[in-house]
Amino acid sequence: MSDRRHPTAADAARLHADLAAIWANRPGLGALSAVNHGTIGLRFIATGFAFMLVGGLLAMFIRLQLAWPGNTVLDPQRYAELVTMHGTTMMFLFAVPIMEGFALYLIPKMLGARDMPFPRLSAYGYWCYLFGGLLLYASFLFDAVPRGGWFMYVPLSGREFTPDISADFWLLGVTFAEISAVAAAVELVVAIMITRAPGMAIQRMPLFAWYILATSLMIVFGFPPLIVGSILLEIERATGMVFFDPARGGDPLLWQHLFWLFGHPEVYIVFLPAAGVLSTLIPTFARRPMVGYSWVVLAVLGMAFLSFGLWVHHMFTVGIPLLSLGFFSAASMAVAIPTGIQVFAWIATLWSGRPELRVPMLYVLGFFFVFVLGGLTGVMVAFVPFDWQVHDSHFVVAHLHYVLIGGLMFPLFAAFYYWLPLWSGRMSQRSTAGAAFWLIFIGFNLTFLPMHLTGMLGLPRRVYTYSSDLGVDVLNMLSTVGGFLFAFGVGAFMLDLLLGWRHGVRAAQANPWQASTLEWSLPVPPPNYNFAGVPAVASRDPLWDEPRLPKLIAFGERYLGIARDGAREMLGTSPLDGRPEQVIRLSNSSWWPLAAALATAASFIGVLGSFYLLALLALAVAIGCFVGWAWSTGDRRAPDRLEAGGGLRLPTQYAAHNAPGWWGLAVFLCADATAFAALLFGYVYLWLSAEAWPPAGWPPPAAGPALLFAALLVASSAAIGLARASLRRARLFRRWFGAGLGLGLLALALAGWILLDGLPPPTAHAYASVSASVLGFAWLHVALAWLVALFVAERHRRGWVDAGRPLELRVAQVLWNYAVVVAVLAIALLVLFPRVL
Amino acid sequence: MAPFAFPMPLGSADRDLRPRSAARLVLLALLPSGCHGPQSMLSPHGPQAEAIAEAWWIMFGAACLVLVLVVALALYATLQRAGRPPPARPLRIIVVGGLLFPALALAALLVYGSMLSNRLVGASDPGLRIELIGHRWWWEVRYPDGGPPRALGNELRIPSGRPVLLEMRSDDVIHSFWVPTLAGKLDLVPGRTNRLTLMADRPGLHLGQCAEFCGELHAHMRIAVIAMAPDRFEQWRARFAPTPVPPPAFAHAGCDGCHRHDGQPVDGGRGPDLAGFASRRGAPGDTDALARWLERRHPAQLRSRVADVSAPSPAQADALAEWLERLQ
Repeated sequence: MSDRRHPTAADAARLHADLAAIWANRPGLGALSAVNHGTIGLRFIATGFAFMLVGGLLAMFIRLQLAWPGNTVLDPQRYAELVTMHGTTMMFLFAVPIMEGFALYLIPKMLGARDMPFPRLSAYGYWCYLFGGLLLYASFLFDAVPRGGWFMYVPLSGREFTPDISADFWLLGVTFAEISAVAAAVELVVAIMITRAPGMAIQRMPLFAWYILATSLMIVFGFPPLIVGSILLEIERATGMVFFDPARGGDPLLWQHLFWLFGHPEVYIVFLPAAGVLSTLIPTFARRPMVGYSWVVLAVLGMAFLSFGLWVHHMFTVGIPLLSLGFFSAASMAVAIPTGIQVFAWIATLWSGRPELRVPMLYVLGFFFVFVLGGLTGVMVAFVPFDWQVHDSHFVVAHLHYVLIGGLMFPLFAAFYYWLPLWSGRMSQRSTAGAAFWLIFIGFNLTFLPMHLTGMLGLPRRVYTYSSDLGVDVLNMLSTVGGFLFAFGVGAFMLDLLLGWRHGVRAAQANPWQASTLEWSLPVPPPNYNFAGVPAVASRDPLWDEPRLPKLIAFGERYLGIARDGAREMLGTSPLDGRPEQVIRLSNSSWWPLAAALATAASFIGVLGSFYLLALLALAVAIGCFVGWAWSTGDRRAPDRLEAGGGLRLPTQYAAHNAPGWWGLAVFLCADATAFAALLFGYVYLWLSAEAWPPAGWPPPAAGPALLFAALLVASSAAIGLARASLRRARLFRRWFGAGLGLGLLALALAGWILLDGLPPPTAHAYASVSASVLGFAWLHVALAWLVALFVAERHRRGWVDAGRPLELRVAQVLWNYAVVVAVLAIALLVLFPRVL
Repeated sequence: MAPFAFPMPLGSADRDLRPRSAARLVLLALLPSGCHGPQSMLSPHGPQAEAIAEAWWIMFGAACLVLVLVVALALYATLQRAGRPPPARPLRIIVVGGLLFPALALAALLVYGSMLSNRLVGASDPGLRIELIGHRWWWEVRYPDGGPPRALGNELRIPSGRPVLLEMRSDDVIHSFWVPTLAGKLDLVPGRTNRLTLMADRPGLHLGQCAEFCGELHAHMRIAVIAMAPDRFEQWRARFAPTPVPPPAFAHAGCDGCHRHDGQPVDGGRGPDLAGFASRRGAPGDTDALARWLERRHPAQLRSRVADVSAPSPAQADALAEWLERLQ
C-alpha cells in the first residue's frame, strides 16, 4: 500500500460529497422509499417509543381502575381489552421492535459496515411492523378490541367464546408484526456474520454484536412457533378446521405449548439486546475492556440455548406430570447461572476500572437493583410448588415487570442518553436527567414492589376489581400512586432527552464518552454511508488501540474509499476471521418494500373482514411486488469483480461464495424449518392425546399416490442438480432445468389429489385438519420453490446468471431441495404415522 | 363501600385464623400483620399451603441476602474512590459470584423443590371424591359419593383434617381453582380431568377465586370453601332438607332462567345452585344490602354488552333477599 498516494483533504471532501449523493434518501415524500439502515433504525426506534407511550397510557387506566375496590372507571370488558392491548403493545410493538431499531441503527456502525446487507428487507420489515401495529389499534374503531389477554388462550379466544373479530385483529396484527421481527433477525444474523470490518475476527466482535447475534438467532427459532400457532388459530376461527377444540379431537393445551415455545424465548429476546447495551456502556464508563469477554459470550449463547427449554414453566398449573415439571424447573433455574455470570462480569469490570458516574450510569445502577430483584423472584417462580400458589397472581405481574422494565427499560433509557451525542452531537444536562431518573426509579418500585404482596394475599391477575376482604386496598392504592409517579418520570425523561437533543451542551468531540467501538469514529450526525473508507480492525477496542482510525476513515483510506457507478457498495468479509471476500452492491431507495407491505396489509385485512377474494387478489399483488423487488434488487449488471481498495480486487456478491443472498436464505430456512417442526409437533401432540388415529371410519391416506408424489419430487431435485452441473452448456442446462420444473408441476398437481382423495374433510376432526395443514405447508413450499426457479430461469435466459455468477441459481437450488425434503417428510408422516403407530 | 359491592356475597365471621402451634405463633408474630387475609397464601390452613409458605419464607430470606449483596457490590464497584487498588484477579469475581454460588444455591433449591412437590402431590390416598366443574363464571361442586347425590354452587364443603380428592373439569374455557390458604392452584382444562388433593387442618371458611382469565366476569368467579368438623360434614351430607319455596319474583325477575335451588346435580346449569346460599355467606348479613346488590351489582347486570336479564324491581329484590337469607 506504500505506493498508493494518500488522499488530500480535497479528495476526501469530494469522496464524501459523491458518497452522500449516492446514499441519499429521496427528498419529501420520497423519504418513504428510504432503505438505509440509519433511517429505518431511527423509524423503528421512534415508532417503538410511540407505542410504548400508548401502552403506558393503557396501563394508567388499568391502575386507575384498580386504585380502590369496586371502582368503575372501566367496565369489565373495557378492562379486559386494555389489559390485553397493554401486554400486546409492550411485548410486540415496543420491546422487540425498539431493540431491533437500535440494532439496525448501530450494528453496521459498530461493525464498520456501510449498511445492512438487505436494505429493502429492513424497509419492508418496518412497514410490516407499522401496519401490524396500526391494524391492531384499528380494532378500537370497530369496537372489536382483542380482550383474551396477551397470550390469547383458547378456547376463550376461539370462535365460540369470541365470536366477533377482536381475536382476528390480534392474530393478524401480531403475525404481521412478527414477520417484521423475523425479517430483521435474518438480516442481522447475515450482517454480523459477513459484513464486519476486515480484521474483525469473530473473537474481536463488540459484545453488543454477540448479543444481537444471539437475539436474532432466538427470533429465528423462537417466533415461528407462534406464527404457526396464530395461523392455525386463525384458520380454526375462519374455516371451522379444528386444532384446539377437544370436542373434535383438538387440544387447548397445544396453543399454550406453541405460545410459550415462543413466549419464553421472547423474554430473553427482549432482555439480551438490553444486556448488550450494558456490556457496551459499562466498559466505556469503567475505562477498561470488559472483564471476562469470553465468559460473557458463552453466557449469552448459553442463555439463548437454555431459554428454549423453559417454556413449560408457564404451564406448571395445567396438570402436567411432575417428572417433566422437574426438568423444566431445573432448566428455569439453570438460566440464572448465565445471568449471574453477566451480572458479576459487569460488577468485576466496574470494580477493576475507574468508573465515572455519568447519566447513563444512573440507569445502570438502577438496573442492578430492579433486575436482580426480578431475577430472584424468577428463581422463586421456577420453584414448582411456589409457582402453584403465585402463578397468574399479581406476584407474577410484579415479577415480570421487574424483569422486563429492569431488564429492558432501564438499559434502554441509558442507551438513549449514551447514543444521543452520536446522533445529535449534544448531551443531556445531568441535573434534570437525575430528577427524571429518581422519579422513574421510585415510581416504578412503588408500583410493583407492593404487587408481590398483593398477589400473595390472593389477588389474581386480570381481575377488573377485587373485594375489600382480601386486604389489598392500601397496596393497590400505593401501586396506583407509584404508577403515576412512574409516568411523570417517563415524561420528565422525554422532556430531558428532547431538551438535550435541541439545546443540550455540544459534545466537545465526536467521541464524548471516550468509547472504544467504531460507531464513535463517525462524523456527527453519521452520514448514510457511515464509513467513507471501510477501516481495518486489529483489536476488540479499535478506538482505544488505534487513535488514528477516525482520520483514516474520514479520508477514505483502506477499503472501498471509492464512489463509482452511482452504486451503493459495502464490503463482505469471511464469517470467522473477517477477511475481505466480496464487494456487495446494494439496492438504492425503492418503493417496492412499501408497495409489498401495503399489498400484504390488504390481504390481511381481507382475511380479517372475511373478504377472501380481496385477500387473494391482494396476495397476488404482493407476490407481484416481491417479484418486482427481486428483479430489481442489488445490481444485476454488476461486473464479476471490482476494485475494493487496499490493492484488492474482489468478486461482487453474484460471484462470491459467502454471498449475502445465500446466507440470508440459509438463515430464513432455519426459521422456516422451525415453523415446519412446530407444525409436526402439533401433529404428534394431537396424535398423543387422541384415542384413535385416524379417527374411526377413516382409512389412512393411500400409499400409492404418496409414493409417486415423493418420487416425482426427488426426481425433480435430481434434474435441478444436473442443470446446475451443466451450467456452462446453456442448452443442456435449459433441458434439465425444464425437466425439473415440469416434474415439480406434476407433483404440485398430485398433492391436490392426495388431499381430496386420501383425507377426511378437513373440518371433520383435528386429524384431518392437521394432516391437511402439513400437506398444505409442503405444497406451498414446493410452489414457492417452483416460482423462484422460474424466476431464475428467466434471469439465466437474459444472461444475468451464468457459471461465473451462479448466486441466484445456488439460492434457487437450495430452496428447491429444501422444499423437496419438507414435502417428502410431510408425506411420509401422513402416510406412515397412522399405519406404524 | 357497600357490603356487597363485590358480587360474590361473603361474610367474614366463622373464620378461624388462629395459629396452631407456639412456634407458628412466634413466627406469625414476627410477620407484618399485612400478610394475613382470608385469601392469603401466607395464612396457611392446610398442609400443602403450609409447606409452600415455609418455602417462601426461606426463599424470601435468601433472596433479600443476595439482593443486598449484589447491589452493595455494584455500588461499591461504581462509587469507589480514586486510587483504590483494583482486584488482583477480577475473573475470580465472575467465577465465584456468577458461577459457583448460583450453581450451589440453585442445586440445593432444586432438590428441596423436587422433594417438596413429590411430598405434596404424593399425599395419602384421599377418601372422599368431589367433582368440581368450572363454568363462566361460577363453580359447580358435585358430591357423587358418600350420600345422596348433591350439588352446590360457588361453595365447596369438605371435612376438616382429611384429604379430599377434587376431580376438576371445565364446561367451557380454561379456569383455575385457587384457594391460597389451603393449596396451590390447578387449572380446569376443557377435554381433560385434573385431580387435586385438598386438606384443611381445622374447621373454618376459606376463600378462593378463579386464577385463569376466563372472560369478562373472571373477577367474580369466587368460591367459598367451608371446612367442617368430620361429624358435622357427615350430618350435612346425610341431611337433605328441602329449600323454602321461592317468592314469585324468582320467576318474574327471570332468576329461574339460570339458578336452581334444590341442590340436585343437573347438567346444563347456567348459574350456581342457590341451595345453602345463606350459609356460604358465613355471617347473617344485611338483608337490605343484599337486595340492593341483587338490583344493581348482580353479575348479570354487570355484563356490559349483554342485557338478557332485566334487573329486579326494589320490591322483588327485597322479597328475593329475604328468601335467600333463609337458604341455610
